[in-house]
Amino acid sequence: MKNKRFAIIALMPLLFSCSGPLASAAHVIEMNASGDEDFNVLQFTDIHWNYSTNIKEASAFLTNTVNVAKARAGHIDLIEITGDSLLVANKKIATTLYDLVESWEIPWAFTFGNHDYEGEWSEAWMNNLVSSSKYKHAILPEAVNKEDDVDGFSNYVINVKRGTKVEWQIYNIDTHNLVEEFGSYDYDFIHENQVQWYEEEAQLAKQNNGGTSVPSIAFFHIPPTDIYDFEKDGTLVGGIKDEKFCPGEHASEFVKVAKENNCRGMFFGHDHSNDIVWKKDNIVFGYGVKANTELYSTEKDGIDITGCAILSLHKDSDKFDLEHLIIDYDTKQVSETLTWKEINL
Amino acid sequence: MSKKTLIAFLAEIALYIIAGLAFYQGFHYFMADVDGFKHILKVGPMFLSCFMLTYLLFAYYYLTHQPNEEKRAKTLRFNGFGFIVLGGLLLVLIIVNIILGNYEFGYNSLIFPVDLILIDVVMVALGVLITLKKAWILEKIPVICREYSKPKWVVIVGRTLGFIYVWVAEYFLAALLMAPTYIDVTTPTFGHTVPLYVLMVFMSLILFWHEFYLAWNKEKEMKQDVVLAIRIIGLCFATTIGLAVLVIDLAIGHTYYISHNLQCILPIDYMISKNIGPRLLTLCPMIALWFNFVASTTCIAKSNKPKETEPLS
Repeated sequence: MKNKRFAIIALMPLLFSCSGPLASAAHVIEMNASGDEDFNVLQFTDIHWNYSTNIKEASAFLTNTVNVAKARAGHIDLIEITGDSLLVANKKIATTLYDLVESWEIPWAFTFGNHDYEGEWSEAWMNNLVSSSKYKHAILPEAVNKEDDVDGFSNYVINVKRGTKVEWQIYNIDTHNLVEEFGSYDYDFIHENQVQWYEEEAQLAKQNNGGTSVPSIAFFHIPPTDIYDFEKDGTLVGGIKDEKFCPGEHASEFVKVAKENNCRGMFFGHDHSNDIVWKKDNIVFGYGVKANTELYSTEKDGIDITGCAILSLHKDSDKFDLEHLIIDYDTKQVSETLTWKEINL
Repeated sequence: MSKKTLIAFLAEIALYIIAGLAFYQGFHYFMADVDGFKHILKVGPMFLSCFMLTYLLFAYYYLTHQPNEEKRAKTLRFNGFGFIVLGGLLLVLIIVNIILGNYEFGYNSLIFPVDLILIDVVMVALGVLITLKKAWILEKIPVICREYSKPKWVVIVGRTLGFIYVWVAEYFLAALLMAPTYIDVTTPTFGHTVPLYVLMVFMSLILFWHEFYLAWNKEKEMKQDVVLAIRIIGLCFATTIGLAVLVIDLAIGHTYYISHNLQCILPIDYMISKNIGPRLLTLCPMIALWFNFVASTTCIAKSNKPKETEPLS
């Protein structure tokens, strides 16, 4: 990808002289929003299927959650899976999970989490699986390009278009796995070359949009260290914080650069007992809702906090609604709905 | 070495490899539920059934290494009972899980949970066979070696270290055998993992050599071979140190190479965020070799000719 990027940068003056839109870089996928409706994104996180999972029960829960979300939002345009889909498992279990996601016949996007390589497979096998042609609804084609030198695999942007105009950008960013330090590990973070890639994509979209920044949201797995700012001067929107924040210790420039590029929200997983949402400097920071009970989860009124998040990106606007659906894992009934309208106002 | 002893030695190696593969799978089952053991009724029989083959390995080892026939008979009696009780209990738990619908066919392995049932049925059958045909088994399974007299502390420390060493070595040998499922030779850092792969097989090779050495020595004078053993121990120790230095050196330059290439075989490392696997792979051989060196030199110092407690079989 680096070579292509150099080529794009080198050709910038020439491209600017043209009247048409700038060519998109690699790792860009386009989707069309339909009619006058919001573009609805369903976020699943920390599914964590493993050897101890009852696959039938877990499949039924996820499928039911998709149906509940569809009924709630009217339609789901995109499913975002923000990492840790698996844990210690084998290829059969991994394939069964993605076959299930594919069976919903809704476009699905994907970022890797720190546990996704713990199963009995190689990174290459996992990347090839999620980008294989058998998954017609998976959005991860060029992203799985081992030759590029943007760190990680699941780095790509979805341009949500209405007609010819890009209304929203949805970034998927790989927060990798663990940083090896001498004798121990720490959670990884968004690397400098990924931040650079993000900035280039955002700038390109801005130029294509006549110099106006395109609003964007970002999905990834491990939250950035900036989340500690919530405790200093963040504005609580809602949700539960039932465990301490667990980002790594390494800071990234991502939030700072995202702020400068009209990023309206970033959504992650990783800490299963948190589904807290807050705002700072016009960016919404939100944990997703854990989509399974595996490993650990938190309880409220005796019910595991499991379910999903739904984002509704508004038409002709940089505002969105966010909803957390808490769904009882056993009864599959919605036990709680947390709705925040236009929270980025 | 007699043909009978050689067959017993080869059977021990074969059992070690099979037990290692089962232990590897069982350890992954265990790690899948280690955080709180929320599914222990389901996962417990899975990993314990896999660990049963390692129990069989240890039982076989003690049967073929006891200093006298009385202890051999006692070992056989005790383990026969253990096989029936544990194997039977696990079999019941597996059937309960099948009835409850907890075990879904074909997910965890190609024939799951039939593989678990087979292991436990074999264990129970062995237990019954041992109970009914004890004398026949004692006659058919020879002694690989009768442990020569050692100070008490050598026996206690040796057995404790031996348990740990065998678990680690069989796990990593199985991990190496399972490499086709997770290895990716196209990753830029694949070459960096080679010293770790060598250590994985090296640990078992030391063990095989140790067993072969004991079997070979059954009919030989001990003193001159203890001297040879010390030389071999020294060579293995130097090799381990060399590989350990290489592992550390490569880790300094390429911090991600272990997690990029070996994450699936080191689940405990990533669960507790500590670099346990590479430490085990380097420290276990070093400690075992050092211990064997001390034990061997102690034996030389104690007696010029080790005392045999009983005529060899």
